[in-house]
Amino acid sequence: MKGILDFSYMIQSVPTIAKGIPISISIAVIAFGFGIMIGLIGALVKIYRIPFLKEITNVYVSFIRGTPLLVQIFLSYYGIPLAIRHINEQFGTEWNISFIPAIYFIYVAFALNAGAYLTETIRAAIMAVDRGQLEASYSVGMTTYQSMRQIILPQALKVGLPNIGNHFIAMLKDTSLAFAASVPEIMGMAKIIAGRTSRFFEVYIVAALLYWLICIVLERLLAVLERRLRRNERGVKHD
Amino acid sequence: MIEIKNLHKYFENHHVLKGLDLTVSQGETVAVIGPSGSGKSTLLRCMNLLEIPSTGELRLDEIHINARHISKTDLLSIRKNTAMVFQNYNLFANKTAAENIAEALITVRKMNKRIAMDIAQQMLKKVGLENKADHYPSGLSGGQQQRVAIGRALVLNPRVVLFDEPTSALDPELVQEVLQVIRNAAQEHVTMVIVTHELDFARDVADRIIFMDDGKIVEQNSAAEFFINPRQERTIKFLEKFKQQNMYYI
Repeated sequence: MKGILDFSYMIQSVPTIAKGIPISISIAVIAFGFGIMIGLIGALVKIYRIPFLKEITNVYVSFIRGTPLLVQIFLSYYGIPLAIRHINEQFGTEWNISFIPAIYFIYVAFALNAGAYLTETIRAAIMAVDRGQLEASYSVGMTTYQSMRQIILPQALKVGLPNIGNHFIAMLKDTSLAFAASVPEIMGMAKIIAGRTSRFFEVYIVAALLYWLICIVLERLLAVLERRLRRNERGVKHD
Repeated sequence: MIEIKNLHKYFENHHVLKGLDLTVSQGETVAVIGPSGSGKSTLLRCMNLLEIPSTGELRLDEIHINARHISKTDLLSIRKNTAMVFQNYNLFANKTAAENIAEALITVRKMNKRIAMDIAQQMLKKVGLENKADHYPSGLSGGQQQRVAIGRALVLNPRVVLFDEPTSALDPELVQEVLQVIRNAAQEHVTMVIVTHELDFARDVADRIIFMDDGKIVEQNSAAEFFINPRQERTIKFLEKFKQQNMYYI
């Protein structure tokens, strides 16, 4: 009697589904990189209570946190082409919408999504650094930029790394939503071959294992990074 | 030379400094004493513009500032020419002892990193911590941290070093090592303004004592005269309380 699972089919399907790995990782890495920049700007806007920008940031964070990522992906996928067409009509430019790969809309949606969550995470991390650190750097003549760069942000990174790492892992798993914009990442590839053979369960188990494997590697990397950043808690510098 | 004229500071509606005038000459050590809440620390923090005075004037040699309009350049040049030692040390937690001292030389003075680290090493020797160069603040005792902090201030050769209760957070047995470092600096004629509760130390190290109460300077005199012949009623009361406190220790 045949078992529930067709193991040889599962193993066969791995190379095809694994083709989606670079795309999943590229979405997570690129979007997260921009997300960190957005988050840092958003955090500083909120901390320094910059008028007008602060209100915009609040609305942005509230909207992103209050709407599902899947909806944001659709808004980006259908909204950006509309916006570009509008700009073309208004300013006589001739940007061709159909040449933009779908993955760019995914980058935008994911970067904006990560940026909103990271705004709060980075803000909390910066606020967690003792105020005396900033005063001390001011007292030796450093500018706000120099203090941030040399003293505050390195310490905030140490405080915020576990949270930022969690966001990254969560985002990597969320890249599975990109198939909604027909981007062939892990989940997209799985759907394609499952559709051909109707062996949905086997294919999705393989997809699940691949996500899990990537996340295990990420967890290890984060632990190493965290240990490196925490070395100044051990009292003595070892080069 | 530092000159403060008619300095006022409000926190919301709370009038903390009520029209202060103060001059500190080059090479002079001035101790500021007084009860808690008298505005000593605020005065000190106004001198390097960590607090922006509400009204009044501040002069540091050729840099002249009116509290009503302080430009970014003025603010930075005041801070680059002063240094502060904090009650809670405030060493940069992500930097070693040597890096703490070298940081401003590298970042602010744009000094070559290796030269700055050499200078930092010499400064550590001066404060008696040459073997702690690679220790992070978390690996140092309170007294050691404060000595590094003093080194961080002195290495900049500032026009004045401001001490904000430098020994208040220390265990009693660690106070002396910090006071000794400050004493050495006084002997080298570093201009210093020291807010302190250590009256014996103030008498010992300072050229002049300032007594503050309720946001005003009540009395100032040479260290010798101040303790022997206090003139104001308020000063006499304060000193008597201190003497009584000390009797408990004996």
